[in-house]
Amino acid sequence: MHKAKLLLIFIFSIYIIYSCSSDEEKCPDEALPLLNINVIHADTIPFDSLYIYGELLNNDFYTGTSAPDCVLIPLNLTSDTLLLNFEMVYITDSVLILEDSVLLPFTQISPNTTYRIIDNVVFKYSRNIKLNNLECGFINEFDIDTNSYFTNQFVDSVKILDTLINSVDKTHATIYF
Amino acid sequence: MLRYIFSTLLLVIAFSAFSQNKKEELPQREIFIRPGIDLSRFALPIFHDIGITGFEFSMDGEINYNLFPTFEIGLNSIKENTEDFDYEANGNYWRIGINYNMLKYQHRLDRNMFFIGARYGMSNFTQQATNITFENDWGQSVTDFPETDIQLQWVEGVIGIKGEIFKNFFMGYTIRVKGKIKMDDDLGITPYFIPGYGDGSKDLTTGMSFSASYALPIIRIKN
Repeated sequence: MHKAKLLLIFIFSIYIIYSCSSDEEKCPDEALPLLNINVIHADTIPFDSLYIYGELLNNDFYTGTSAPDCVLIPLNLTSDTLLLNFEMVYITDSVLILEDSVLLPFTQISPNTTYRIIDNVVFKYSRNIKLNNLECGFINEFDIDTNSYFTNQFVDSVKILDTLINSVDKTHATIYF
Repeated sequence: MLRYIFSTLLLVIAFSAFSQNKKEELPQREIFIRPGIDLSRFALPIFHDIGITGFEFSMDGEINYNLFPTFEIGLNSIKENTEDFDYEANGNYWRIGINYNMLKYQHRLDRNMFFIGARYGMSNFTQQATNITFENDWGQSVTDFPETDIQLQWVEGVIGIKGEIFKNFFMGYTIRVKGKIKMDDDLGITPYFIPGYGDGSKDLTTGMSFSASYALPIIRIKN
């Protein structure tokens, strides 16, 4: 009987330790993971500025003078498509137009003139809501379609690197221009 | 003198023979059933930060000292309301199985157990999640998962002890390793906590119960 009591106390201790340790789970940082894209620019296409923005006025995702390594873009929760505008701006006096540049077709250029070229890139995706746990709540995962659509005035190609969007720590797509 | 010695010897032999024939009577061993409850169910709100409650009743009985058929039945309820979602799940479960006592008792009063065993379990429950709200640059979305009926079947391997703390009153622990056999497919969302089983996202999981029970004698039998 003494042994039975000792075993009861021993296993009860294991139960307490087990209960205290097993519930310490960290909540995921990303309940709404962002689309991570990088942009690769061929040197044959000079430009002054590049803008990346969505359909709404406040969807301004990138403004810069070089092609970004990483742009984080939220996906529309009430839609299954994301339209991105890639706007390239160049000013004739500040940009050297090379003979083999794709901009040469725009030969009727005037000096000290700003030109804007806009391409659209459309991603299609599906959304999956998952219950992580009740302490942390629900999270989203997106599955992006490998067939994206784009206009190609200056965008050359779009490559999907990872169709599962559940973290910003990996690049999901690359835009080449 | 010789007659005296012989009579004395006879008396001595007679006394010793009497002592050997008078065996110590062992107490009769009872056949009993043992209803009990799982006390750890009452501690669920303490070990979880969410609104979870439960109750489990058990019954085992003795076939012989080593074999104990067991039946367990219980309820679980979860309700969690936050700014971002409302979640509710309610259900019941039962398990049936047998325990094998690995202890070799030294005397008939010894009813302590160190057992291994197996269970088959089934759970029927409903879950629903409403007002699941997310918001980002594009706006706000609110999603509902309607009430869904779900059934799960599983098997368990168990190991545990039961000690007789006071006469007929037992306390003990059972450690469980559970594996899913069959669960409904179209769940909407993976169940957070399946009554009787545990984490719905895991095909293999563990659990523990802390029981208190009382032996009710059915038949007293002699050796």
